[in-house]
Amino acid sequence: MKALCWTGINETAVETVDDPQILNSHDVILKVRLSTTCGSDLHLLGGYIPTMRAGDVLGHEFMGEVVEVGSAVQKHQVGDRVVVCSFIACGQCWYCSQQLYSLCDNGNPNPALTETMWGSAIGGCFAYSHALGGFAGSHAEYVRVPYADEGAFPVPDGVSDLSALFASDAAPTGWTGADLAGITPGDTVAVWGAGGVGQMAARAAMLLGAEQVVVIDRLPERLQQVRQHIGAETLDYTQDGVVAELKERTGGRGPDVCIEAVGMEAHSTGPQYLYDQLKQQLRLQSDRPTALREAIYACRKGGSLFALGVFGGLVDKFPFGAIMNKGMTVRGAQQHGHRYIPMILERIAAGEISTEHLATHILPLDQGPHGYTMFKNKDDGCVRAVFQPGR
Amino acid sequence: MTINRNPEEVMPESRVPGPLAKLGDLVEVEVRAAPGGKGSELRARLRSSEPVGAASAAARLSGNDPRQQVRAALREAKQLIEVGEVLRVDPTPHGRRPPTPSGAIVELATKRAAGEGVL
Repeated sequence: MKALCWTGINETAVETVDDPQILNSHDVILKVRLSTTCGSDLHLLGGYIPTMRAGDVLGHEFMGEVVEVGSAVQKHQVGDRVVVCSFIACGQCWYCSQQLYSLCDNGNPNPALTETMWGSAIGGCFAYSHALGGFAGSHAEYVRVPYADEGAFPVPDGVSDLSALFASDAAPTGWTGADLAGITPGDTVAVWGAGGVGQMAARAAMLLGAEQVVVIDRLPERLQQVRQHIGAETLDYTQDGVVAELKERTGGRGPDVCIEAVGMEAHSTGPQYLYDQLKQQLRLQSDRPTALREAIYACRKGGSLFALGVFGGLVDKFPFGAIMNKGMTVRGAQQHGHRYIPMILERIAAGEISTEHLATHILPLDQGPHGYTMFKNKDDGCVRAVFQPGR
Repeated sequence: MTINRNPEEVMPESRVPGPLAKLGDLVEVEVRAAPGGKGSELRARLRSSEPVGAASAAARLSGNDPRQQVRAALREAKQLIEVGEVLRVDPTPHGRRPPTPSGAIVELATKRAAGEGVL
């Protein structure tokens, strides 16, 4: 089958690879209908996440049609249209029982790698380096889905393929942040990043009762999508000082909840950005926490910060004094999608969450490398490049 | 290793779980309830003394380290008890793997990645 593979720093190529097989009795094999780029892929492409190998098949946000079913699978049959959570969880371990699905004990066949990096092994994820299991991704004609009864969700009849696609990662990641950040009705929430995840976090915040939601970015097409499809306020950080503007809009308090949906390759306009870039390129720090620092500074005292953007290692010049003295709650997580995806699909069907607008570019898989270049450089107003392996 | 089942399910009639039973006399195994509703704590202790210091690091690097075997057996036992199978990932589809030094390091690390979390 054809698959889009990582071949080197910022390089991808479509190659012919073996078809996936059923390896465990809880697996299904999915014929991929749609598979999208995600901001976290850029960290993989750029070589910032260790344990990638040339030849790894990319893609972790996808939906499709079941074509083969393992012997122990009960909830799916051949022909079912499903969307699959990017994280792989067993449903049986203690973490799954606590609905902390991205922390599943049994989703990652290579636990020693993340146990060494971080002190404990987290769950597995499609196409997110060998540290997270080495599972082949979905930018391919077919993909193997382990623990399919847990991780594959039927798409309701009223929901299109394209709408359902973003219930695989962007929407549940946004919900995880908004839900676990502790938003109470009437709160002001600020979201850094107007990409897929940031937009979904903002929408989730609104549906969870936030009275005022502000999304921060610099790309006009993304800010426009926020106003048009999410219904939140926007803030262009190249036009306004973020901390000052947020204070202005909150009577001097600062937001109650800050959600960082930017991650380790943050961009900014200040001198700190140059410092972070230099240190990162010299590999003296692995992550650029530019947006995170700003969120910590902007958050009201006693408020809450949720880190949704992916970070891998160590950050420098981190304002821990602000966190401690301002009495902040700081939390982070990869998505616990299994907890939210069915509800998200219902809300999409009911018109409460709009996701299709994120797919600014739909391409055949053969144009994968071009798609990633466009996505990385934000060319042509690209928000997400979606691949159709069948074309 | 903590397992999300009660001790009678982890070691019914005090039977040592398969992957650990395979290690025979290398280990002594015991189970007890974990606090806070987290199930059971399954412990496997090497009967022989463990290498320390530089010898410890050398043993880990050699690929022939009984501690890695014990750790891998504990993980396997947990998965068999909680899920019924050990999650496999190989063979997985992939593109061309040109031989590179960093690729070789990742491959080596991944081969040991079911063992202990200090490579």
